[in-house]
Amino acid sequence: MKTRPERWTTPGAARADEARAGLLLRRAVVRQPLDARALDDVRERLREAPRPASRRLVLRFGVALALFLAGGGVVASATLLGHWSPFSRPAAPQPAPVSPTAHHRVAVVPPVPAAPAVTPPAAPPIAAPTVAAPAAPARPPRARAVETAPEEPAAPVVNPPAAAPSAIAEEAALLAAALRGLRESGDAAGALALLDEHDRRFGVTGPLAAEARTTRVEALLRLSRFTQALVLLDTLDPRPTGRGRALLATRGELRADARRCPEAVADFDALLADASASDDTAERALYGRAACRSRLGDAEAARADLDAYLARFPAGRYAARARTALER
Amino acid sequence: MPTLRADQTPADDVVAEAPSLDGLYRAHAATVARWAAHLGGPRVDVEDAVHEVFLVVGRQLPEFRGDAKVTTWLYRITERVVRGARRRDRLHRWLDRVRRADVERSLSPARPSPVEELERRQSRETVYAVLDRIAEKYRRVLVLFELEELSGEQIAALTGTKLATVWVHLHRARALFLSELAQLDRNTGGPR
Repeated sequence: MKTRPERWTTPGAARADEARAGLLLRRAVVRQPLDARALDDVRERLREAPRPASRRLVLRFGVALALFLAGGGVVASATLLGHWSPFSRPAAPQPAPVSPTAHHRVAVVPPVPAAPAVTPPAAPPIAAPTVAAPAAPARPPRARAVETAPEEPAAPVVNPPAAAPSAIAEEAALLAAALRGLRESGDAAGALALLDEHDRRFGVTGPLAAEARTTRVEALLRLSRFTQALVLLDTLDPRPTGRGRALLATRGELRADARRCPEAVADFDALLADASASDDTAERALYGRAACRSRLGDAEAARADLDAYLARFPAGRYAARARTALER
Repeated sequence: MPTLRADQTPADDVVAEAPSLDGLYRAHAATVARWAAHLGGPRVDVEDAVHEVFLVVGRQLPEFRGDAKVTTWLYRITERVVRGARRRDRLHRWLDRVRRADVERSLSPARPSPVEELERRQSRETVYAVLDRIAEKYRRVLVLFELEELSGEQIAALTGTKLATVWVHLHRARALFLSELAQLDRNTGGPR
């Protein structure tokens, strides 16, 4: 471009469409978005901010711990199953050392309803108890299993015994790779591809299926694929405790966004049932419920929620909006 | 520690000797706020964006060697923060819609706004509705040229691109802006 273009925001454009664009852009200019007081407020917040480096350390430690626990669970399962035990008999026709029923309980752990939340990045990526905890009580000690083995019916084992532990390890590794890509590199598309592979290989009932689903929700949210995230969240049953609260809050917001206000209010109600909770999810729930109630025509209840919001979160993220709404 | 160069701005001068977080904040917070407002539009909380930018600055300050101008460094952090804020805000956008469409209307009798303020708000919303449909690299140049009123050279320095690229992107951004604006008008039944 040889000549420098004139700004549209400078009045006097020849073409009508450019003149209109210029007018719109002129009106969109913000000379001073924050006044001196607001800038001082931010400076105060900066002084109060925690040191972020420690958060990264906690995150790394959490990931390492989760992987360690998951790996430990796999080893424990394998040992208890007897596949790696020096006492297991090599002869093929020997009956399986544990009952098929017990084996089945390890191979197909039902989805855990209280799935980990998607938002707190410092959360351990893999809930080790899903692998390790059910395995331990499902198995008698190895010695006892050998003793009772002759009393067991010599039914054929459906799942190949040697494949189960490695399958769990592979599943855990695949899920860990998806989480690592998602949380450390922000590669949501790559994480989804890994989760698709997970579902192809391990189905939706594997030991880590619940973690896979919540990871998928997190990836979909990062890609702004809210409709798909909501479809998946609708199949989950997050509890209003622990890390399930973030899932519940997100589902409430997405339901409200989809104009499913009664269901959204139910999610927000569940979060607000614990009146002492004053975390981020309680804040979102209170303001979200106000918005939903307003949309449902219950202005009085909406106003009550906004009053409660300001009482509990006077400097909250929606405080200015709540005040504006109440003033009007 | 960065040294003052000929192409540094007076604001850079304030922090050239001692690039402390506080010094950077005093010198650049207002500029960062304006960048955030223009890059992000009405849906980005400028105060939060400024806070986040300077949290990043505080974290990265020990590694800042002065290879780039302070303003360039800050701009790039601001751009990243605003992009993240816009992504996050899409999840919470319904609250704005609810606020505008329902909460304000249903909780109280409408308070008439001054016409100018109303026009300004509507224009801003229209501009960012159009900008949201334009690819980031074009949107950025258009915002810096028209709203920040920077020269091509300043845009090239801030974004780390060649001057010729800036002009090409601006040309393309303008064509896209007009076409998306026309499309928006058709969808909404006329100019807003």
